[in-house]
Amino acid sequence: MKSSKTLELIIQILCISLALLILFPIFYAVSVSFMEHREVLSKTPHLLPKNPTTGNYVTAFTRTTLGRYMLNSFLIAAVTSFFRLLFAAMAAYSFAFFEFRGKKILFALAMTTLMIPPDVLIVSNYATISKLGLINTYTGICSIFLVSAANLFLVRQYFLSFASSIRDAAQIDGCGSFRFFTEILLPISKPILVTVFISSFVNVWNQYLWPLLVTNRNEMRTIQVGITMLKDRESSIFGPVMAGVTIALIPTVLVFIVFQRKIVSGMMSGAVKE
Amino acid sequence: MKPRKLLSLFFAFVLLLSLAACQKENQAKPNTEPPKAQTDTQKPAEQPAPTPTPAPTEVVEISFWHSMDGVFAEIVNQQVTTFNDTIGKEKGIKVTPVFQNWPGTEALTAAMSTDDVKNMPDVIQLYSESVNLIQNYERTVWAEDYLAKGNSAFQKSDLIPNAVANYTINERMIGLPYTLSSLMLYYNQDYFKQIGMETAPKTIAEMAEIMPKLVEKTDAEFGLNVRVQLYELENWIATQGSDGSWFGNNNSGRSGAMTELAADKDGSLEKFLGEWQKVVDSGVYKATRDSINDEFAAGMHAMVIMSSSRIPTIKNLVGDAFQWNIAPIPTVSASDIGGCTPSGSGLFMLNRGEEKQTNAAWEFMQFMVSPEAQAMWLSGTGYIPVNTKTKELDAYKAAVAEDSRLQIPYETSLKSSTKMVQSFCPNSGTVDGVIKEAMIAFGNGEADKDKTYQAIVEGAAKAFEEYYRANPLK
Repeated sequence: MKSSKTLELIIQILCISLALLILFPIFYAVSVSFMEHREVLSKTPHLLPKNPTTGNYVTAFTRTTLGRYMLNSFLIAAVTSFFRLLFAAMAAYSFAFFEFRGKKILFALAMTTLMIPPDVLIVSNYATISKLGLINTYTGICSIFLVSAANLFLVRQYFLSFASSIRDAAQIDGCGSFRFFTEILLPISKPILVTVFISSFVNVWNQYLWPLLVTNRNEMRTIQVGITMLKDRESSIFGPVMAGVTIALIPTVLVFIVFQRKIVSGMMSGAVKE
Repeated sequence: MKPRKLLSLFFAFVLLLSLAACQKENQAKPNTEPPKAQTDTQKPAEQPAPTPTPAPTEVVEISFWHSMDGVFAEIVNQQVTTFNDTIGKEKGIKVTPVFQNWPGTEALTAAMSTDDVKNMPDVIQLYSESVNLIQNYERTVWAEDYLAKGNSAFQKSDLIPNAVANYTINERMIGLPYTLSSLMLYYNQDYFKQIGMETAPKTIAEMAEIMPKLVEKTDAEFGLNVRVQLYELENWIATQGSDGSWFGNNNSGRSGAMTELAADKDGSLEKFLGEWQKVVDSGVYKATRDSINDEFAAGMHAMVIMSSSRIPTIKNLVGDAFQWNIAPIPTVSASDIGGCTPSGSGLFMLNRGEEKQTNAAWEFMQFMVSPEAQAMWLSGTGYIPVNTKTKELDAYKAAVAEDSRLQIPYETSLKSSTKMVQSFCPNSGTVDGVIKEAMIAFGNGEADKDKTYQAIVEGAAKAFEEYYRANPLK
């Protein structure tokens, strides 16, 4: 009994140490965002600001239109995540519950898209978006993120964990495919749907190159592009950049805090096919 | 509180924050629109009626892509605002600045490869290494074509000669120099005094000779810190001889495509490495670069070599801690001409199909190289005004009176030979990497002079071969 408690204590200490190690750069970034320039570069490094200042945040908001960039990023991340979820759930439903010719090939084709580096397609994607007249539009930015094979795979694996007898029973009771999907399957799949939504939100929120390419108007830029405007190539003024990074972190961190339990549950459930 | 409620609250907060920030921006942002005419009721009765200025019937909107961040971006916006409020208002031109992250070519490459004229800039800021990208592009409008008309607001002779040469190909200017800086030797004057030196070393050999003394008799950990890459090496090649030397063939890409190094043929590369051996042998040379600004400011290095654009940064970091100054980089031989190659960027025009837009772009380009616009660089940046007439302005005199060091890179650039240009090196990123790797190994004593020479020559040749295999010469 005593040894198991000691083991548990060691594991807890290890977990906390690991968490602190991972969180340290984030804590330090937040701390630097409140430091004056000289303090950041002082010979003896300061972990916490001696005289906290909000000057870096003022610089971040006055040097760029950070608020507008956040709004853009938020809209893009929310809309694309919603559509990714919708398309992933619908496709996963058909791959998990229906039998049709070419099912395996179609699924394999979808999975092969995971092996193509997105940067390879960037110019052809740009050409398409440009020809459609979607440069400098939210639709243009969102278009290439609307479907994700990784999300499809995750949801399909989760759906496969359902016994087909549930669907059979629903059908016997007169429940059609669409009703089963919307009223039974989706409500009981909340953990995986939340997981997909959050992972997608974070992924799109952090996109940099594509939004930079398809926007050339300041009011259409996203937060990740905005942060690069805060840096200074000729010097080491980290304060405003760290302030920008801290502001950009807030939505993703909050979303993680709010949905943490559901994400874990979703990951575990989708991991194993029963 | 339930997660859903928390999320709703968070979304509401983000939206409020965004809207508040947008509103604040609208209040804080300098007005780039021409001021609206006052109505009769708003006009004070006692003021004489203003002379009516014929308002342009049509406003030509042009887009200017730049890659300036931080304080540099603020100055760019200030320049654009001044143009829009003055010449732009008078001639009916409105310029919209658009930030593109350094080097500013990602979006341009995408637009060029799809001939997306609608989403191209009219004017773009590019660095020397990116000139290859637009040199043979059909939509590039050569500055020389407008200069040849003879009615420009400036003459070529108004600009710093080697900055003009930097953007001249086959005797024709492709663009205009916009930002200019030069490689300089920064030295700690307090340390120099402690070893009885008053002035900066003139040659690499002199520099290598004092380095051990500086470390021995002062608090410096290293005598010199510089990471030699393409830019630094080009400077030491270009400043050799009585009138400068070419780094690459075809006058470093000015009279044809640069297809190979020239520095290995005329012996300038070998000569440099021979002298640099003395720096390496001093045992107090740091070949890598970490936080060079901060390390120099902390007194770790007696000398550092870096761009003049860092003068304000060093000034802020050092404060009153010690006296420091800058000087032209030490030459390879005492008989070398010395000077510097122009670093920085130029402005280039693209033809988006309408002549009125290229004409408007040229008006804007002329303003950006004017003494007034160039003087704006003096507030907070170490950029050298490209227009020599800036020197006559009070702003320049005041800036130099406040910090005389700003004059050194200006004078050095002004005296530099027109042979001292940055090469239009194909695959410059790869060549830069080759040189950096070889010179760090040399500096750390992991490779001797011959091995370093071989690594640079062979590495560059391979990079050129790869480039021209993918982009054959026409």
